[in-house]
Amino acid sequence: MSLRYTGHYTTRVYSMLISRLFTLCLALFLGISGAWAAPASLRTSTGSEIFLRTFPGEGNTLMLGFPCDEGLGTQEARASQSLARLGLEAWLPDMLGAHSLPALASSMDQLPPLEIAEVIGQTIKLSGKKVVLVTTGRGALPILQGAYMWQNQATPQERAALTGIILFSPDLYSVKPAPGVEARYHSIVSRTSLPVFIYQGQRSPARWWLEHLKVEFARGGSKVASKVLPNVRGFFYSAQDPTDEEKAMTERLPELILDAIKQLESKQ
Amino acid sequence: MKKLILFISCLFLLSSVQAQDLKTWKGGSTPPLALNDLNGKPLKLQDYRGKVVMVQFWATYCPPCLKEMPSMMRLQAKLAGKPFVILAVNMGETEKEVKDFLTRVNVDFTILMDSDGKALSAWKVFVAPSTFLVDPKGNIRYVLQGGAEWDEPEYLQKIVEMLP
Repeated sequence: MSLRYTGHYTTRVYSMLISRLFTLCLALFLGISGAWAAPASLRTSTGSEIFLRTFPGEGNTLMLGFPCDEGLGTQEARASQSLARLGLEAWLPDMLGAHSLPALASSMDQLPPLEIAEVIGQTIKLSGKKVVLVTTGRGALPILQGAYMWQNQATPQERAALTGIILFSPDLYSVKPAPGVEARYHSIVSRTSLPVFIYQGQRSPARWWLEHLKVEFARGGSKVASKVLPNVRGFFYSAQDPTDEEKAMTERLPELILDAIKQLESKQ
Repeated sequence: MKKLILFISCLFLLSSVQAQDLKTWKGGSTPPLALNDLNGKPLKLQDYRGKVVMVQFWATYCPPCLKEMPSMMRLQAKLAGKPFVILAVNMGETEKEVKDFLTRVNVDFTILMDSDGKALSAWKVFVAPSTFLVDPKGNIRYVLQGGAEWDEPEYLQKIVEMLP
């Protein structure tokens, strides 16, 4: 009886060990191959369910791309596909959809920074990868606010996982600038300490104010770099009437993002 | 019929909004403006003392700029013989871009080239087009951000009132 019990117990222990070993091997395999399943959505403490479009990549960096002013981010999705093939994983959370907000620049001001902070935190935890944020236009405001909020409650080790932020044609004015009046930027600009890379189209008045914006970012301790993209307007990738130069630049979005990531990594 | 009334009301409201967009200048003294024209001739705002000057900042890539240019031509024609000039300051584009544009759009007012964006920075222009109305003494009196139909009575009246 005692022997039978011991034998049964030993079998259970072996079985448990084999099962655990199998799980460990599977986890290691999936971790190495990058073939783990990204979540379909993220839940925030505010009760929002934020759906994600995910593009798995094998590298150890993940692009967390927030929707542009045009909402659907068609070109961002195309760029994400290309980037994933090059090894850069991409997640595109639908922040506007989670709040049934129209795809307008003004909707961006209504996105709760707390939710952005939680999306950043969950992405870092779930993926285990280094994360780079990407956003455009007015989206820069809530994303920077969310990143700031997340950084304030993260440990130094966790903070190191957030490489920086890439901004395309950011609109960070606190009030719509009027001609002849000094522009005022939102206070988040001078509080941001994340490395920042800004892309600005040459065919935009904002190009002439880029250096002012960089000075404002530098006040918060941000290491900031920028590039003026020749012969394109600010929102070249979502233009209704793109020129040949703008179409060509849109095709280069993956390359632009990879270049910016390299620059951000060198500034960490 | 209801739809037609609504449409006409919307048009009326839209034109009212445009007219209200002409804001009284509160930005202090007039910034310097000394640029070359398309032929390389240096011009200064001071050269136009005694005249009302419309200083418009524009770019060839800006649809509202192009849309309002015919109305600026009509405004200039309505004020022919009066001390009124238009200076259209191009925002940092190349001479070739502007000259190509002028083969497609017929304008005959003076175009100044702000090649390095210095005038744009001094006048604090963030949006194209942005237009400033300068009185005969050289003081900015009104400013408008965005496009307009410049020959509409509301604008014409303000400009006529500024004439010496």
